[in-house]
Amino acid sequence: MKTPNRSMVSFGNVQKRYLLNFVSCFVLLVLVQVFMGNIHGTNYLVILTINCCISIILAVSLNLTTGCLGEMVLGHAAFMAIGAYASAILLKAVSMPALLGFFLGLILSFLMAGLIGFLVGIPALRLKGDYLAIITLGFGMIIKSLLEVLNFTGGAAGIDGIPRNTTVVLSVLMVMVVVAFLFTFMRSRFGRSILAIRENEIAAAATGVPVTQVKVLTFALSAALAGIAGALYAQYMRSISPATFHLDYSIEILVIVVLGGLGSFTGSILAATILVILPEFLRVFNDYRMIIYSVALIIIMLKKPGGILGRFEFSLSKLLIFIKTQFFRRKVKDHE
Amino acid sequence: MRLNTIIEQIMNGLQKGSVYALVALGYTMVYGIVKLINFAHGDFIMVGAYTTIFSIPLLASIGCPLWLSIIVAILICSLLGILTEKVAYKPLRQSSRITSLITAIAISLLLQNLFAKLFTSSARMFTQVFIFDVPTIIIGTVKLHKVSILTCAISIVVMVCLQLFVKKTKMGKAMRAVSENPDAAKLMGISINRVVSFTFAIGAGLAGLAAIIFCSYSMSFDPYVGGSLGIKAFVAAVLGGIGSIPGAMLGGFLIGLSESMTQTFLSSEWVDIIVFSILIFILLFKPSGLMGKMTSEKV
Repeated sequence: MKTPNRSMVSFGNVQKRYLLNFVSCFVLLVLVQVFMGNIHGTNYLVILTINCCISIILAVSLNLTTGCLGEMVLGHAAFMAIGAYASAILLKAVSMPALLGFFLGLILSFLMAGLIGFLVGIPALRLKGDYLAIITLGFGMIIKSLLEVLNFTGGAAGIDGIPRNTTVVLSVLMVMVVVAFLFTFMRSRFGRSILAIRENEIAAAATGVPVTQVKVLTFALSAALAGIAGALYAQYMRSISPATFHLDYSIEILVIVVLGGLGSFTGSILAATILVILPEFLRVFNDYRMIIYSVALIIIMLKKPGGILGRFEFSLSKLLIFIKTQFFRRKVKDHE
Repeated sequence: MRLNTIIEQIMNGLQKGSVYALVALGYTMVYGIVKLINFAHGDFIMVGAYTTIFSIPLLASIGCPLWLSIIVAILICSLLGILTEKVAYKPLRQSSRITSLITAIAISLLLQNLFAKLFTSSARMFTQVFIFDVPTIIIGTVKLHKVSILTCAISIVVMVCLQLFVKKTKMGKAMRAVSENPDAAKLMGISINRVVSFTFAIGAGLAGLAAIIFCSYSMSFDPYVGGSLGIKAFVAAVLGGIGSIPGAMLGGFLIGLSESMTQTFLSSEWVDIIVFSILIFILLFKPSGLMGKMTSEKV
């Protein structure tokens, strides 16, 4: 008996869903352009939005390895650092128009971080669980220290005078591209093999999933996406130094991912946004901010060990269907 | 380079190493039992340091001997360890390990920021290099400082005691059983909660002891001292083979030595690179650590 191909059955629906998501993204982008496109780059709201975007990209990219593949990584900030340095060095060396520079820097960051991620992943992913976490921590510390020691990265002082090419619209666009890519990627054959490895590595290997290959490529992809966040960061802050990409930053990203829910991209987006915006509201209690943050973190983890959203994914079309059915039911009831 | 400089550097490294070793012992015990990287462990050292610095004038005013401050620090740290376990880790014992890792990070942040708030984040000087009087030993032209001799001696004695405790006592046997298989241990009538609390108490107590030794050579500390110290000590525990008591010791000394050697022969910027390269190298070729398999008991 042939199992019906689900995507064939609901083809029209998928198309509609994609259209819906695409249109809403486009509308959001236009809104961002209209409301924030012309504001000066150092405006408070602009800073907040770009910080949100960078955190979101970092969180979803880490969620790919930690949530979807199920391997804990404690050196994610190092890959962001590689991305940041790659685009910074390129843009310092060659002067070019802003938009071209932005995208070229982005692509270089993506490739460099991906390459280093690949090279780190080959030995590191032979280990599992806590040992993998520790070895990535080690690589992260080494990368950060190397950036401090090497000459062309400017030592501990880092690099400054990078052109400011990142704008709000571009960073929101990049978030959309990355998130959309990850969603479609996880539905692909490759994405399903990632999930298979998470659920049961031996069973996945037995059904013919090339486990090591998938793991290393996923790790490299996650690193490459962190590189994009790095490029955004470097071209926004205009100066970077190795101290930013310390272990604490990697841990912060991991906290976002776990808080949002392992394996839930929308959870990561939500948690990243909350964790960027919430401290701004807590500014009143400036001295107690970190204490409140840590206590809140403990309480949330105790009450909801799976994160805010768990593995749930927010979906616009599902929401619409939900609203429609609720509305429809009420109408039926009214009719009765 | 002159020979006695090298010997002095070795002693320096051993001294640093013994602090790492003491902290690593705590890491290794806790990890062996609950399989949790206790990120807050490094901050127990910080708490221990503050306890010592505040207890010394207090003890002096009552007229007690000053070395009692060691016991005070160990007690306070042990209590803190038990409390942390009860509040943040015990409720999560059944859920995924990454969750308790996050609470461990949160506890670490909480301790750091709480102490920064209570006692300001500026560094405190630790002037009282105190307590015991051991003569400085001079062999030829080499001067061995009493503090370094004392710290090495303390950490080795503690390691031996701990090993004996784990091997010979009933509680030690219970610990080994829990680390081997918690469910089977429960069926044998071992109270898991008591064993875990006890382990945390010992681990945190060792951190308290490490705090005093750390203070006696670094002379100053701040609320954030636990971070890098904890990470290095954890690396030491992994290096020696997590779960193995002599391994933690060996790892600690190895890290301490390679740190001080890098500082003398290269520069201090290379310390992290060398230390973590050693870690990666060993993890790749012997993932269970240097002594992970040889001493098969896991506590």
